[in-house]
Formats: sequence, structure tokens, C-alpha cells
Amino acid sequence: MAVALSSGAVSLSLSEVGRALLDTLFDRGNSQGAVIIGQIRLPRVLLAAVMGATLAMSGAAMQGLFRNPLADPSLIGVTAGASLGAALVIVTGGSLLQGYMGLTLVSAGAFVGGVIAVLFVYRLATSANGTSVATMLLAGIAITAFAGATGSLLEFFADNDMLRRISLWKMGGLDGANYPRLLLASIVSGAMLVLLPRYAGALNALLLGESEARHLGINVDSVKVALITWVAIGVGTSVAMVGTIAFVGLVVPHIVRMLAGPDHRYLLPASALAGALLLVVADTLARVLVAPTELPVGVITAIIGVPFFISLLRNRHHYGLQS
Amino acid sequence: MGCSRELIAAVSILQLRHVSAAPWGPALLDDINISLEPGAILGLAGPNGAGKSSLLRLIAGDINSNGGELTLAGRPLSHWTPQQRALRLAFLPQMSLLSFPYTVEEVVLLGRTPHASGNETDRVILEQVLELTDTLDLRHRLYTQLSGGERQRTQLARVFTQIWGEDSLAGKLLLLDEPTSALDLAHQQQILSTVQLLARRGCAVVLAIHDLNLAASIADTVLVLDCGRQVALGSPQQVFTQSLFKEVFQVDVIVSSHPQQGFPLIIPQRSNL
Repeated sequence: MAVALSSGAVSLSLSEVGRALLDTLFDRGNSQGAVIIGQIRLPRVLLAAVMGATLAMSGAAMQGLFRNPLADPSLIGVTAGASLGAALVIVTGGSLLQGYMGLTLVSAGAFVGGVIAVLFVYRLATSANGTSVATMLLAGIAITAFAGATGSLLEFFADNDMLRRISLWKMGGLDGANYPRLLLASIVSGAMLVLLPRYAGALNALLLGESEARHLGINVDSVKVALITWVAIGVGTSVAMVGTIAFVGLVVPHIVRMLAGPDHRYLLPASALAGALLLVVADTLARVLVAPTELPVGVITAIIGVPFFISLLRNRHHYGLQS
Repeated sequence: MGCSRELIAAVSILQLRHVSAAPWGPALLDDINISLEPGAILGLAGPNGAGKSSLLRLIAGDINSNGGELTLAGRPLSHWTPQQRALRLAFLPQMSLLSFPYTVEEVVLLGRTPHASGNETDRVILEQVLELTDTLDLRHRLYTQLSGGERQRTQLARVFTQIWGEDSLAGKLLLLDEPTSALDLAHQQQILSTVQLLARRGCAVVLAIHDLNLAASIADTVLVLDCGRQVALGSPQQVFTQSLFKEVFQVDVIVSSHPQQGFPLIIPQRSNL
């Protein structure tokens, strides 16, 4: 955290960071350091930590619910729906897009898009016999494809400036960090951190299979609704705040499971911690690698994540995962 | 508590009256009538697709009946919450989908999910059940790296753990779908002895089993199903006759009896093609 705070386009020593933090905390002084740390880096690093935790917990919950260690929050259509919502606002919003207000409108569009996509996928997969997880997976793929195609159509009609904003937004970035966003993200993340572990026992039983979980006394349908709702809110918020950030929700729970086993009582909080760490590191790299400009953080997580994921796939027998 | 237990002992733990089920259109089960007392072992027999697994899943609440009356301890099955039912009824399905690297111990302890008996009690039960299923040596192995028979013993240990208790097991019901299909001879006998032990302590058991000699050796009542219908119900001696095998299984058999224990022995006669 401290290293993340001290590195950036303007390099500050750790003691300067400490002094600046104190200045910010007690609301005194407007030294350059205090401004950089208090107004720019602190909210950004905290937002990275909070969103990383949210994404990783969402991923852990989805992998448990779908009984598939390769599942990802984007599987149920949240990410694609949110991207479409954001693109829609960018393209149609026109002059409304200026400044701070515009950014929140895009975020709202993303959140609404993500939630609508999940609702749609959920309705498709739910019949009188309950919700089929397999159907949900397929419906998620269909919605993702549809949202992708519609997004491309929008991009086709977009002008150059919109196009660049859409593609930057898709790559994800934490540069929009500020305290109101951080507050909102922390509320969502905090709620997930408190509530999701309550479903740890249910998720553990669900790994045996849905009917087995039911025979162990789990009310499977209500657990499903609760988890899908929280993942939709969590991922929707994160896409709204920081764009699409790939692989955190997929790789982090996977690594934690390899180290600590599949027991969700440990998996959920440990994933939150590891996800926070990964995103802070990735964002720090994004800021310093090509300073004074920045790389999109989604690109960094993907670049770290993909080789790791491939090595995981190659060694899956080693970790007791089935082929 | 003591009073309610006597009440449970008086009421049959499981009762089906004219129960039918057709969850996907065609009838899977038609007019099934059984009544099970605490400690009874009911064996389900019949050719492939006769409805043995369907009947077990019906009793476990996986599929709904659409006719007749199905009660668990005197109360309609649909009136039980999943949690209440899980304290009474454990079900071993034919196949397991588990593909996450849990250790054997973790899988077995999942059987305690519905209970709030505390970690200490759960560990004691774990030790006893691991011993009875010969899975002590496997306890720290990953489930995903086990052989078929070892997995089956682990899953058996899990369902035994779910209904295990210090005192009487009257009022509990164990449903086993092909519990011995992947087991070697020694483990088959060991598992069946454990089932008998549970039954002696009051647990009622329903098991579907293809090996009819095993069925005859353990069940005190056998229900023969054919195309979802109840063809015969009675003791193994009454039910396993040459004509039944000809009619239901289309096989010629010699029905003998076990030289020491007296239960029927079924010896198939193979016709040359």
C-alpha cells in the first residue's frame, strides 16, 4: 500500500507519504505532497483495493455456485451488459458527457446495463423447476454475444472521440477515483465482505451438487438468488467505477483455492484480500511503467493473468483439479 | 424429548399410499404403496429403468409426486423445510458431481452441515464413521484423486455422518442408491454390515441394489419394480421366485438358499446366443 502510494509520476519517499497522510488526515496544509497523496493517490489506491476485493469475492462465489473452477463473474452477463450500458450512454449522451457529471452518467449506464443483463439471464434460466445453472451459463454466453454485437454496432456509428472513450473505458482504469466513488464502492464491498461469508457453508455443500446440497438442508434456490444478486451488484458497481477489469475474478479465487483448499469459509475472505492486493499492484504498475502517462489497468491484469492462467491449466492435475 | 421419541417409534417413519410421479410427462412411478417402520431395511429391485432411482429421489424430495400421499414420520413430505428434513433423512445418489479438490475428511464433514452439534461432536462422529467405511487412511487425500470405489466409500461416509447420533436413530431414514456398485467384495460386506448396524439402532433404510444376492442378504423386505409399477412386495424368500425372474427380468434362474444364513441365493442360467 505504502509503495503504491509513494510511486507514480511524481515520486515521493515513504516519509513524505507518511507526512502527507497525516496532513490529509488532520486537514491541514496544502503541500504538493499532501495534494498528490490526499486528492489523487489515496482514493485511487483504496478504490483499487476495494474493487479488487469485490471482484475476487464475486469470482469465488460464482465459481462455487456454478461448481466450475473456471467460472468468472462475466459469465452471467454482468460485464457485457455493463459495457453495453456504458457505450450506449457515451454514444447517445452527446454533450451531456462533459466533466464530472458525464463520468457518473456513464457509470450509472454501466450499472443499469449490468443489472438488466443479469435479470434477463436469470429469467431465461428459471422455470417452474427452479433455476438451472447450466442454462444460466448458456444464457450468459448468449447475452454476452448479443451485448457485444450491439456494442460493435454502436461503435460503428460512433465518432472518433466516442470510439476512443468507449475503448479506453473497456480497458478499465482507476483514474476516475475520488472520495464519493470510494465511499460508494466501500459500502458495496463492505456489505459483500460481511454477507457473503454467511453463505460459505451453503457454497461448500453446493460443490457436492445441487440436490446433495438440498439434502444437506440448504435452501438452494434462495442461496442462488442471494448470491447472484450480490455478484450483480458487486460486479455492476466495479464495472461502473473502474471499467472492465479482466481476470481478477477468475484467477484470484483460483490461486487461493490452490493454496488454501476449496473451503469457502477461508476462500471468500482470502480471495478478497488477494484480489485487493493484485489490483493495487496492477494499478501501481499501470501508473509507473510508462509515466507520466498511464496504461489501462485492465490490460495489466490481463497481461499478468493470462500467462498465470495458462500455467494453471497445464498443471491442473497437480492441484487435484479434474481435466 | 423422550415422549416425542416414543411417538416417532409408534408412527411409521415412511409411508407411501397410491403415490405416482410423472415429472416429465410419462409416468415414472405409478401407484406405489409402502410403509416403513424404524429399523426396517427395504431393498428395491428391478431391471434398468424400472424406477428404483426415481422412487428414491421422490422420497428424498428431488422430484414431486402428482398423486397419492407421501409422509415422513407422519407428516406430508412437502411440509418439511429442507433443514428439518436434512436432520432426519440422508440420501446417497448414484453419481457424484464433485470435482473440487476437497480432502476426504472435508467431504465427510459436509455431512454435518445441517447439524449444530459443535466441532467436538462432529470430530468424534467423523472418527467413528471413517473407521466404519475404511477411509481412515484416505482422510487427507484429495477426493478428486481417488478411485471410484474410494469415492463411493467417502460419499457413504458423508451420508452416514449426516444421520449419525449418539442415541437412538429411530425416526431417521437413510436412502442409498447403488451403495456397493463400485466396491470390492470386502468393502461390500463392510458397508452392508454398517447399514445393518444403523438399522439395529433404529434407522430405517431404503436401498436400490442390482446385486440381488446382496439385496436378499440384507433386506428384510424387497420391493420389485417394473416400468414404474409395484410388481411384488414381501420378504426376499416370498418375492424371489423363479417365475418372478422369468417375468420381470426375462432370465432363467435357479433359486437356492444360503447354506448358513438361509436367505435366497439366485444363480442365473445363461442362454447361449
